[in-house]
Parts: sequence; structure tokens; C-alpha cells
Amino acid sequence: MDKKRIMVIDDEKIVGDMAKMSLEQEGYEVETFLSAEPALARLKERTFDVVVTDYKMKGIDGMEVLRTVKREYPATTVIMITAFANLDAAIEALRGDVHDFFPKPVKIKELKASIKRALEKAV
Amino acid sequence: MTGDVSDLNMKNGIITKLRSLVRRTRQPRNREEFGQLFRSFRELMDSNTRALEIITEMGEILGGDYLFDIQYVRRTLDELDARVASSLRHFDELSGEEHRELNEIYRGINGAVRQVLDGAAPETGELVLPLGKIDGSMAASVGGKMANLGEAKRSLPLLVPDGFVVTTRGFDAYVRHNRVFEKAGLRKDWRSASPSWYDGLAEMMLHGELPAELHQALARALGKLRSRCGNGCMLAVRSSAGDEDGVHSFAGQFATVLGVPPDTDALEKAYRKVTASLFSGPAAAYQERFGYDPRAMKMAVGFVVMVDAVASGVLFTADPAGGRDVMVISSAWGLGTSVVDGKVDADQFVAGRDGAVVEERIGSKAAMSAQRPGGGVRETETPGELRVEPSISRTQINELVRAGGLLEKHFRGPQDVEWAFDAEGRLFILQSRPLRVAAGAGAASIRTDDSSSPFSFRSAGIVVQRGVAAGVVHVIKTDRDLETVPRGAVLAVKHDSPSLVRVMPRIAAIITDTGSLTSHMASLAREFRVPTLVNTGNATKLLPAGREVTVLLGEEVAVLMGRDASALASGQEQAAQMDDLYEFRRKRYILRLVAPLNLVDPFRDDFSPRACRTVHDVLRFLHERAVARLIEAAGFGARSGGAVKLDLPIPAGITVIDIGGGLEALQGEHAALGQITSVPFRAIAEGMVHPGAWRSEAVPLSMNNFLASMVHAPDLVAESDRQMGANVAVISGEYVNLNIKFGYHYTVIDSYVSDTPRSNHIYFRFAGGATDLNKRSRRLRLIERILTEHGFGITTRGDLLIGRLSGLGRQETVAVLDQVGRLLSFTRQMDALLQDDNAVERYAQYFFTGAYDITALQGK
Repeated sequence: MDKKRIMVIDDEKIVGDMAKMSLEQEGYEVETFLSAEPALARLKERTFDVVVTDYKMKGIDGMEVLRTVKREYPATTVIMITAFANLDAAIEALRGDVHDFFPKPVKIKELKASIKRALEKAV
Repeated sequence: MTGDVSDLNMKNGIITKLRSLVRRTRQPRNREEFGQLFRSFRELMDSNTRALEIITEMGEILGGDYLFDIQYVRRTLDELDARVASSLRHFDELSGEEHRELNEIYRGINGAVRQVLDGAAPETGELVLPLGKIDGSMAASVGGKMANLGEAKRSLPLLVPDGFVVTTRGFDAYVRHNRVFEKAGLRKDWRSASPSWYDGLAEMMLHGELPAELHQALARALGKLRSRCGNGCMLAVRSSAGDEDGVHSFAGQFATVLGVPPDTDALEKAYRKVTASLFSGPAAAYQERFGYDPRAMKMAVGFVVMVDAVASGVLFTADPAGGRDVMVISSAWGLGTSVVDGKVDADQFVAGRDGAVVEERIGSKAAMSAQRPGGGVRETETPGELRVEPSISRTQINELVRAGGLLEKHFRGPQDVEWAFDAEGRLFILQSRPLRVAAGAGAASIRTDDSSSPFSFRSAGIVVQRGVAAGVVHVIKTDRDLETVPRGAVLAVKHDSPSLVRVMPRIAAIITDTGSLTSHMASLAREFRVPTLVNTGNATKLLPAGREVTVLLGEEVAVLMGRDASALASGQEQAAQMDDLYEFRRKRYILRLVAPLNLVDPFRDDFSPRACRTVHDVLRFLHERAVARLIEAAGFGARSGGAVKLDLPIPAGITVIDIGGGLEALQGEHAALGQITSVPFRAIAEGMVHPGAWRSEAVPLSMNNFLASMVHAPDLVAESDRQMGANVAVISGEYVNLNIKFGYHYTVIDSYVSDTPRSNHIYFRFAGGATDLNKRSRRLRLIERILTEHGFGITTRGDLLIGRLSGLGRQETVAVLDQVGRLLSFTRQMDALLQDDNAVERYAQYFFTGAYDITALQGK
């Protein structure tokens, strides 16, 4: 069986590194990006089952990633994480059909559970 | 009795210091001023508590279970800083000059935290440093490996060869001078850098030119070294990558050049070769795997005098497959290179921690290497008779195990040690770095099989430090039990106590009856990564002393009978992996400047602002000094008038000064027990009047009048008015400072009781003087025995006893205070009764069983 593919976009290296390490333990294939531009370019080459993206980033931000993914790759689930845990952002993100929304620091166990749910839903 | 001479000196020192502190500070002149001081004290306690909560939360978030970003760390540190600043401000109100020094020291610590946060770890300005001037804190400048070696050289009674280090600053100068990154083309996203880009870097490093300042510094260091070791000495040139905490081994990733003759050209050539290996293929891949940015990577390089080794090899102070009870030694003839590289079939010894060899395999050792006189290393065939002979003796194994124990203890974890014995049989330590105790293959799921019987604790408990460990249960009831703790034990402890720090480096896990997440012990357990569960209610009763158990503190929290190998394997694996990430560890490194507690014992001479190395130390110092200051101030406050007399059913003669909320509204100058609203004082007073606890006719010397029942010797009756003045309670709703003088015996109880266990404390001080020395010490021992049973930490000095208990919840503290009240009454006239040593335990038992009526008991 093919490994499920997860993309993590966060402008802070530590977030991507930690997410990659812990999600690979679960048997996922993980690619990390420090900004949205190369991540969106990568999506054109390869499909991903789940995209975990930071909300606030320089250049293309998390909302733009969400909109693009929903438009171009409707089968891909988006999970939003953000350092700015304000309600407005959450509501906006949820309206944009985000699967889940986490304020940072994110409990890795909860992120894993959310990804698992997303993948089950997709099947 | 307790305490040796040096102890006494230390404590005398502290008392002198306390006195000098008191002299410097202004004393409250009236009740209002004392009230103000008391409010400062309470606010200090509140901000201290919040600060400790923040530290605890940081420990959890940065522990590997959360995705966090720099903003989180920054925000949290800002909040922590605000709390500590608030504590310092309130301390300023409480105390005078000491504040200024502490403030400066805190600013220094905070500055270091910010530097790590901003990625600018403090580096030395030196391009080259002699090994003798290096310690463990200098990893940013000299790399983890050389920092450890310097630390071992300075701090341990072990031989470490002479040498020096070209620092990371020297490396920077080299890279800058040769414009390495500019020429290679700076990549935005280095993760997509190709292997050939790395090759280009390595090539430039290999053929670079040393800047003049580095060349000169190197030549100077070499000149000095040569003057000590002679022209014949050869050097080993080794990498020491700039890794703050040295956790990452980089084992075998970088080049080492051996047998380098002591001339500048040869040294520079070796330097170039070693630094180039930072960017060589495998090293680059390794860095990428763990998230190192090549532009941020720096390499210090060590130049260490080679030991002309007869035998050498590697010592693991634990079995890398997971066993902490043995050490593993690989050894071969000659230089250790062949052992390290795995080139030779070396001798293998597995030894217990007592040095006894439990397993031995003599390798064929077909080849051996030795220094070539003109430089370099030469490999030869091992003479036949040497091949079958063990390369080291039993005595040498013993010596290695002993050295391994020292290194492991000093560096707080299993070590991977390179060593050599020279022709004179002297043991040299060539390197010591953390040993990664690897997990078993595959992530086994944690399960409980039928034969194991999980315990059900009274309460769920709080996991202070996650982890999985196995060991033999050892029950700790008092600090004295700590002396007999075997290595690798699982401790079942009644109350959580920072004294446990003494054994933390050598125990497997801690489970306590009471305790909290923010206690000092909890912080220490995290620092030492000892799996710890607190507040189970009944661990000391439930866990089977002397039996082996496996403690699981993770997603599942359980204690299983016996040793569960699969659980141990999976626990270790999880702990190890997140630690591999460089960025993660760098952020976590901040915790090292924040969370560890070095100031544990307020009776030590080094309990001073200058000894504070972490934020936690500063908080601890503030706490201890604030309590001391309050006790002093309360003494002054008591003489300021505005007091009422307390009418108790016993003639205790206590005057009360209420600074707010300690008494119901009164008419006149008398208050009754029922009118006390101060929680701690009410508890003590109720204990004092507990039926039978106050004895007025038990002692032969007793008199029937009011005053005589308070005092013990007739000649003191004349001083009765002053006696009365000495029995003073300064109280508020949550606080009491009670000064009681019964006969010659002077007792101070200071207690604060709130809903925050962290803030709660009971301080008990007893200074006595009675008929003869032995009896006095028996009374002291009786009090010690009783207080210890209730969880107090006790220090005694001559006829002075100081007991401290803190961190208990409101109800527990009140219950203990009730016992303290009974103790006050019970031991009031005890001297004449304690006729022999056995009496101490006998009377303690009377007390514990509530058999206070000693007259009746004696009649039997």
C-alpha cells in the first residue's frame, strides 16, 4: 500500500522539522516547505493527501494556500495552524472549508489524530 | 547527632549572613508598615508561583510533544521576565541592598537566554584557546567534544592530554577570509542544495589560506604546547562541531588526523582537512537529515597531544542496547583508531558497575596501529603472542569502570568514552560524549500481559517527567533513607523533596504520595529526565519494596510488575527521536538557562545571588530570602503595640497582632479561640488545646499557678512578664508568625496557607536550653522525629532545630499545623521525662497514637 503523503508549510524551520519527524513515525511520507510558493509548485507535480499550513506567512499566506488547494485539488485536506490564535482567523479558515484549525503550540498527538480523521473521511 | 564540622561552619556562615542582611534592612515601626511588608511578601510569592508555572509549561511545550514556534518561546519568555521582574520589585520592598546584586545577576541570565533565542550563542573572542581554559559551558566556542574534554580536565580527577582548540570564531575567520560561501553561491533554500555544491565548499575549505591572525594565534599556541611536551610529541587533530549541548554525536562524520608533527605547516594542513570534512558528502547528508543549516554550522578543531598508547579503545558507560547496569569496553593494542573505526577484532568486556567482568571475548586483534616517529600512524601486524592475550587487565577494567562512573555522573548521562593506557600504565581520557542508548528495533506497542498486575493508585497522579524505566522499588520516608538508595532504583517517596537531587543521576524513576508539577523536585526530575509521577496518594504503601517494576509514564501511565522489555524499548525510542533535531534542541537549550535548580540547600554557604545560574535559581533565592526577611520583620512588628491577648483554655499566654483578616471584629483587648479567622494560626491553636496535649501536672517540677505551668524552672517565674511578651503571633487570614517561649525553649513557627500549594509553607524553629546536654538533645531528637514523620526537612545545629515543609495543599498543611500545635504543647515540659535514649522513640509513639496522657502511661 502506498504511503499517505503529507505536506507541511511553515515559515519556521523547527515546526516543519518536528512535524516531519513525528509524522514519519506514523508511517506517512512528509515534505516540508518554508514558504507557500515552492509548496504550491510542488503540488502541481505531486498529489498530497493532507496539507498542513501555517496561517500567517510572508508572501502567499495560509488562507491563499487553502483557497488554491480547495480550487485545484479538492481531494486534498487542509489543516491550518497559527501562532495567532484569534477567533476571526479560525472562523475565516473554517468558512474556507479547512478540515481543522490549531493554535500553536500544537499538541502533536492532536495533529496526528486530526490527520487520521481526515484520511478516514477521504476514504 | 547530626552535622559534621564543615556543616556547622556552613550553617554558621548562613546565620551570620542572615544577620548582616537584617542589619542592612529597615525594620517596620508599626503594624501598618509590617502590613505593607507582608503584602509585598504575598505578592512576591504570587509572582514567583506564576513564574514557576510558566517554567513548567515551557518544559512541557518544549518537551517534544508539541509543535511550537519562536513566537511562542518569545511570548512565554516575555511573560516569565515580567513575573520575575515583579518578584524582584517586591523583594526590593522587603529587603534592601541584596536586591541590586540579584537584579544584575538576573539580567545576565536573561541576557544569555535572549542570545540563545536570537541564535547568537555567546562566543569567546579568542581564535585559539588552551584546553586548560575550557569548560563545559563553552560549547558554542569550542564545540561539544572539546568543551567536554576541557570540562573533564578541569573538574575530574582523571588524566586528559594537553592541547588547544581553534574556536568557532577562528573557523568564521577562516571561512570569511576565503569567501567560501560567496564563491560557492549562496542558496536561498539550502535544502535543495546539490551534493556538488557541498563538494565545492569542501574543496575550498581544503585549499584555503589561514588568515594572518589565525596563523599567528595557532603558532603561539603551538609554541607554548611544545614548551610543555617537547618537540617529539605528536598531535591528534579532531573536529569539534559547534553544538551547544553536545547531545548530537556526529560520530564518525568528520575527519581526524593523527600523528601530526608539532610544526605550524603540518597543523594548518590538518586544520584544513578537518574543517573541509564539515561539508563532505556523508556529513552533509547527516546534517540535512537532522535539519542543520550548513551556513550556520561551525566547527572548532582540537589539537591534542597524542598518548603513546599501549592499549586503547572505547568505553560505553551503558549497554547501548539499553542496559544501564553494565559498562561495555572494547580494547585493542596500540592506538585506538582501529577500535573506533571497527577495523580490528577487538577484545570486548562487559563489566558490572562494581567493575566485575560479567562477559569477556578476546578478539584476534590481527592488526595494531602506532605512532610513526616522523609523523603519521603506522599499522602493523600484531605479534602472535599478543593476539590471544587480553589487551587490558582486570585492574585496568576496574579503573575504566571507575572513570566511566565519574564521567557519567559529571555529564549526567551515559557516555561514549575514548581512552588509552600509556607505557606507564596511566589511563588517559581522550574524549567523552553523550552515548545514545538506542531503542530496540521497531516500535513495540506498550501492553500489559497477564502476569503483570498494574497498581491502582489512590489518585491518578501527575506526570512530571515522561519516560519508561524499570528498577527495584526503594521506599523513601525521610531524607536519611536516601543514603541507602541503590543505583537504578525506582523510588517510592512520601513527599516530594528537592533533596532527591542527590540521587537523581543514578535512579530509574520517582513516584510520590504527594507533590505537584511546579515543585523544585519536579523541575529537577525534568532536568535529569528521571521519569517521575507525583501525587499518587499511596505509592509508598502500594509499591512492593525490593521488587522490580516497570514504570510507564507516557500516553499510558502504569506501573507493571517485573521488567517489561518491549515497553522499555518503545519508551526509549520515542524520547530519542525528537532530540535529534538541531533546531528543536537549540530552542530547548533555552530551558537549561531557565529551568534547572542549582540552589537547593539554603544552609550552604553558596546560597547567594552570585550562585544563581538559572531563572529558577533566582526564584528560589527570592523565596528563601523573602521568608527569612518576613520572619525577622514579624519579630520587630510584634513590639509595636496594637495587640490583643488570646484567651485559650490553656495558659499559653499569647499576644496577637492582626495585620488583616486574622481575627473576627473584637471589642476590647481579648480574643477567644473561636474568634481566630487566621487559617494557620487557628490550626496551631486548636492543636495546642487538643485534649490531653497540654500537660500541666505531668512533670515533677510542675506548679499549680498560671505562670508556673508555662515555665519549667522556678527561677524563671520572676521573668514572667518578659515571657509573656515573647509569646506573640503576627497573623493575617492566611498567615501566622508565632513566637513562643516556654521555659528556656524558644519556638518560632511561620506559616502561610492558601489554595496554591506552591506558596504554602511551614517553618519551625526550636532553640532550647534545659537541665543537661543529653536531655536537651533528646528533646530535640523527639521533635525531629515527630516533624520528620510529618514530612518536614530538618536541620539541626547544636540546640537549634529548623524544620521546613512546603508545597502541600491547604488541607494537608492545616492538618500538619494541628499536629505542630499538639507538638508544642506535648513537648513543652519534656526534658525531665526523657531519661534515656529509648524514651525518644517511646514518646514519639505516644504522640503518634494520640496517647498524650503520659502520667497515666507512666503509672502503668
